[in-house]
Amino acid sequence: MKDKLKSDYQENQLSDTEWEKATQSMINKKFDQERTRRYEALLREAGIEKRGTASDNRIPLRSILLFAASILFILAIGWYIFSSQNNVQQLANTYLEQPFIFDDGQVRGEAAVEVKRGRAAEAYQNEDYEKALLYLRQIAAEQAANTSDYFQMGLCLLYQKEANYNAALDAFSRAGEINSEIYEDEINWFSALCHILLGNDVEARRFLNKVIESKGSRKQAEARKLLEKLNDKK
Amino acid sequence: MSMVFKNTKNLDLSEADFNELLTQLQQGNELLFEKLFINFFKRNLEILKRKYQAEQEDAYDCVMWAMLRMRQMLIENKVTYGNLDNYFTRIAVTRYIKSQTRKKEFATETVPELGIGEDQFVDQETLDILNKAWNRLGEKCRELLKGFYYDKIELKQLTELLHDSSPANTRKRKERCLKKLQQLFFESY
Repeated sequence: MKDKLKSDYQENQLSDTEWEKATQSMINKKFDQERTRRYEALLREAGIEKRGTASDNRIPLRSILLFAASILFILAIGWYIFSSQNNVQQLANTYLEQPFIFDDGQVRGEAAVEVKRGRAAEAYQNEDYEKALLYLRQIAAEQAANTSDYFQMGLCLLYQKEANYNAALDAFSRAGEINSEIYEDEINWFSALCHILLGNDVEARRFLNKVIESKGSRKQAEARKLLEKLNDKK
Repeated sequence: MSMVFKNTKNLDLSEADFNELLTQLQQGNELLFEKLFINFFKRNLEILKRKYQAEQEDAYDCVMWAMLRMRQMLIENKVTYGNLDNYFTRIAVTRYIKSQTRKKEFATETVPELGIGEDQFVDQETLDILNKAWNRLGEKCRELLKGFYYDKIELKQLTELLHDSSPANTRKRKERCLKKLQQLFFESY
């Protein structure tokens, strides 16, 4: 493609329309690639790899060996986690180390509140949670906050330099009150973490059980681990 | 997520949830789409592997391509609530069958045309040159070109986002950005 473009350009035969069409294709490809990388990361998180999985069973012996190695690896990791992290709060903290990816794009719209929402999203992406919180609180003060805003507010309260677990719980609760479905699993998960870190074991168990019982949850395994740790505390 | 498992024909969404998904995507919020993405990806990967004996890597690439087109069509409002699962599965299957025509003897006349077009070929070398030029382009131009050509945002909306005085000015700015990108692109050879 580049050679054709270059020769047309050098011979002054590259029209504006042709360049625009080429630009459209290149931009699509460029951002499709970026988006693909993002999706690949999500899929890896869910255990889906592009190459060779246990189900891709074309060389049985190799698959059996891979399967056995995976089991050993999981057991080793499990043993390591079990032996090195006997503190449930420590484990809860590790789940808060990687910020939850809230929004890949920018929020757009006509009203001023949308501009604030966009700025909050941008600040969140830049991990400037205090700044994001500032905009989200302005939206809330204008009575314009929706489920996403309160959910994001809760996350900011968790990730800011000095986490405020009680305020985060309040924000998650408001998010759930407005729409109990959209972020149901996430709200249960993060509420459980807040309660663990506050030492409210009963409430923590209640939210962890909700995560475990939810069919669509991506945090079931982690919730089970936390629940086991809580039960070990007894 | 309780909205999942309500309807197996439309990405597991009720009509209201589907409309919410469209709104969020069109506002640039990808979170809901990504939540649905994993289940839908798994399902289609299995269909290609089991029904078409596709190898994991080929199936993965085709479903990924279909998911990107799906997102694009949702943003552009090109699909309506009805039987979306089947439609997007057909996109993945069609992509796979077409990709196999070079390798195998396949009856391609039976492959349905879905009206989504194929990629115009852009090789990695061209893309590397674009990336160099893109990185030298001003931030506002990058935002404008990405918004217009990839996110499919209307000029009127871009005018507001970029704090331009009028859509006519945004259009002129877009033309200038295209020219600048052209200049930087050919300088980056």
